[in-house]
Parts: sequence; structure tokens; C-alpha cells
Amino acid sequence: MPTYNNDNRSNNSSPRRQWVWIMLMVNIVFILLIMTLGIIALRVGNSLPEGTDILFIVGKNPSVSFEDESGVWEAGKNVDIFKSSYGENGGAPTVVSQDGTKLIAPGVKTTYQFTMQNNGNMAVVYEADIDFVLSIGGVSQKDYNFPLKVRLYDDKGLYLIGSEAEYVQVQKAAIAQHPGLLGANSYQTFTLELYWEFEGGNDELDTLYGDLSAQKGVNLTLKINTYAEEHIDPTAQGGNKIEVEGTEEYGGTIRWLWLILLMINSAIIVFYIAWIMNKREQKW
Amino acid sequence: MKKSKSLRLASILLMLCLITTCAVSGTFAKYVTSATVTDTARVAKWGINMTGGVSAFKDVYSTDVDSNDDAKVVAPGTAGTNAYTVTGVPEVDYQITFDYEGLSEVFLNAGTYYYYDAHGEIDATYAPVVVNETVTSSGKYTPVKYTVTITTAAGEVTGGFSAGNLTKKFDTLKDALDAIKGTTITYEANEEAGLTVTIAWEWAFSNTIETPHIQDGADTILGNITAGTSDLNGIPAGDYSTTIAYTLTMTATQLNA
Repeated sequence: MPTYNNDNRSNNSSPRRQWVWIMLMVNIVFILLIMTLGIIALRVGNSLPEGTDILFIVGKNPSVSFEDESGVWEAGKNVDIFKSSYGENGGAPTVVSQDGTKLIAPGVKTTYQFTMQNNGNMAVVYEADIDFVLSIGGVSQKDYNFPLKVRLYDDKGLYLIGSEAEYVQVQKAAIAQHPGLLGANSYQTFTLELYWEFEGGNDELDTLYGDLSAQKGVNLTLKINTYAEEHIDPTAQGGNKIEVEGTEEYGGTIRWLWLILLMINSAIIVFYIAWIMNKREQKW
Repeated sequence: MKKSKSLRLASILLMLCLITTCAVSGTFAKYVTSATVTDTARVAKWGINMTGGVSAFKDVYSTDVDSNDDAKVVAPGTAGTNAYTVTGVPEVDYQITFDYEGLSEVFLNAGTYYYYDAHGEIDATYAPVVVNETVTSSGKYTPVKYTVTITTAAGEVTGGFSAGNLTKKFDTLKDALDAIKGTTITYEANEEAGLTVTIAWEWAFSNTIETPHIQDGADTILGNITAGTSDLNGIPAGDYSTTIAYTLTMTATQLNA
């Protein structure tokens, strides 16, 4: 009977086994490398420039801006919410400033539009509210009843302040009703409506403010405050989409290619280990 | 058994990788931005001022008419003027309108009036007084005449008065006030009101070519009624009035677009 020659048998299978062990080690090293670099990314990710990819994680590249028909909003910029004259439907103006100063008067209904652009690769959640300051004779007022009303809505008819059925008193519009969502590479247009009721308002109060303005000046300052912060899900959708060239990647998300490679490597490791264990069992 | 151990080991390894990569994406600093813009406006000026209502009637006139109880009086040969003004330069389109109330004016119903003696009999020593109506079909003698003048710095006058016809004479106070009430003056934003409405009255002294409506007998009757003489017997209260009174209201209103 032939006898097994262990030496002969081991000599015939050693190149393939070596190759398997080498590949297995390579995969294990690859996995460990990814884990190590991932841990490093945890430490340094916050201090890297925006847009920097962290290994297989798409870099965050936020870019939110606001603009109106005259250009981009800048810090401290005055915008044209009010006008120096008002008329209806292109007719002769019925409210006209004597000195070019912007005015507001009973019966005036005016709108101001602005657009929020999210050119970044992450969805943002935003809020908007109004600050209003009334001054008479140069003195800011604290407790007052001013007849101007406002409401704010987006181009999809969602109201951030007020509603389709009613306006909000301007001094009570400081708190936004609810936040909004704007997806990556998207924009949203907002309309601010101001209205000083003509009929059905308080004529005595209106006349008082008009007389005070003639005597010592009644001025009001309106601020639009907007806030935007990163949404927990960078891929969340909202607003009007801007078409982008190529494949859209969202900041902070894992590139699928890397994920696939990781899974393939892990599957190969599983296969190797199972194969090795199987061989050992056969040997035993 | 050993196969499942190796599989379990590999699975744990795989899960650790996935957990590590997922955790990284959620640990970067949260992006926050804000923007604020401002605008300022002034409330449009109104600033309408109105004056008037000072009585055009007096207790003493230069024509030797002197009230004996300091009450304001009117009499043949007396006259007066009352002016109402509106000033201001609003920054909105506006309109001036008028109204009146509490009207009372001197009149005596047309008819024949007799003087009576102490016995209540017609006193033949006095001729009966025939009073004719001042205005055809009015049935009344109205001795006081009125002239209304409207002057304005700007604006469009329509209604009872109109451009080119801003001074009118009236036989009765009611006609004068009705014409004023029917008048509207419309201004554009930043047009100065500069409005004056003048109501002048005159009780002519005697019947002349210029004042043919005056009837001395009727004037005497009115004077006797005021004095409370008993010579005139029971003229019904509704047949005469010896007072002039009115309240004129001016209203300035912003016009909407």
C-alpha cells in the first residue's frame, strides 16, 4: 500500500497557501488601516478646511447665501423693504415722500422678496423672524400699539409668519412659527408682506401717528433675521432643486465606492478565515 | 462550531469597520450661519390743522346796535363774517368734506299780520302788515342774506362749488350750508391745503335798489316778537324764528389708492 509522504504532500500545496495567507494579511491590514484612519478622522475632522474629503467620507462644503433683486445680502446692508412712494397697479402714487425718505402710511400694502440659496452639499434647517423698533422724536418706544402687520411665506405657500387668512402685528412677529428645510443645491424664495389696514383699522390711532410724524417724526426700523444650520441628514430634500453637473454627493456621507470596497474586503476575510478553518478541520 | 466562530469573528470585524465609518460622519462641527438686513421708514406726515367756529355774531355793532343783556344779536343794518380754515401739507392724497347741524335762521312766514289792542281786538290804528316771501315758493320772509367764498391753495373743488365759481350768494342760510355740504375738495399728496371757507351775512337796513327784499314792516314784527310785545297776538311759534345758529363740521380724510 502506498504510504503518504508528508513532505511530498506539503511541498505540492505551499505556494497556494502562502498566497492565501498573504491576501488574508493584506485584507486585515486594509481593514485595520481604515479603522485607524477613521479614528484619526474623528480627532482632526473639525479642524480641516471645508470641503476636504476625509478618506471615504465626502467633505462638507456648506454655502448658504441670501439675495434680493438688488444683489446678495451683506452684513449691515440696508435693503428696500419700504418705498418713498406708493400707488396702486401702476397708477398715480397716493403716498409720496416730501424729502425722498421711505414712508409707510395707512392703506399701504407692499411686498419684499428675497431668495435663500443653498449651494453647498448639505441640507440646512432655517428660521426667519422679524425685529421691529418704533421711535418717536428719536426716542425708541417700548410699549406701543403700531398698526402695521406682516406675514412671511415661501414660494410653496408655507407661512413662516402669519397665515393665508391673517397677518401678524409687526411687534409680535419676533418669533418664527416653525423652521424650514432647504436641501443641498437648492433655493427658496420668500415674500415678506407688510400691510397697514385702511378700512376697519383705528382711524384715531392712525391720525395720531400721522400728526406725530409731522410734528417730531415717527420712524420705524424693520430687521429680517435668518438662521440656517446643518441638518442632521445631509441628503434631506427641500426647496427648489438646482441642477448640478455630474453625480451629486452630500457632505458627511460615505462614498459608496469605499463602502463597497470595505464590504468586499470584509467578505473576502470571512471567506479566507472560513476556508482556513475548514482546511484545518480536514487536516485534523 | 469552529466555522461559526470564525464567521462570528469576521462579522464582528466588519461591524466595527462600519460603525467607525458611520460615526465619523456625525462628529464634525455643525455648520451654522445667519444673516440680518435692515430697512427704515417714516410714518407719512398728516399734520392737518383746522380753525373756525368763532362766532360771527356780536352783542355790540358799530351801527348803534347794542344788546341789553350781552347776548349776541342780529338786527337790520348789521353784518358779520365767519371764516373756517384748513392748513397742512400731508404726504398722502386727501379730501376735505363738510357737514352741518343745528341750523336755525331768522324768518317770518309770509302773510298778513295785525296789531291788537289791550282787549284783544284788532287795533285799527295800525295798518295790517303784509309780509311777502323772499324766495319764490318758499313761503318765508328771510331778511338775512349770505355770501360764501371758498379759497384754496391747491386741490380740485367739486360739487356745490367748483373751480371758477367759488363765491356765491344765498337767500337763506340753509341754501348756503347745503352748497357747502355738497362741496368736496380733493388734494394730491404734498399739496398744501390752504383752504378758507368764509360765510358772510348781512341784514340790510332798508329796502333799496340793491336790497329790494327788505320789508320794514316784517323787520318790525320780528323785533317786536323778540321784545315780547303783546301787540302781536299769538303768532304761532312755527311761523317765525328770531335766532341764527349753525354748526359747520369740516373733515379731512386720507384717500386710499
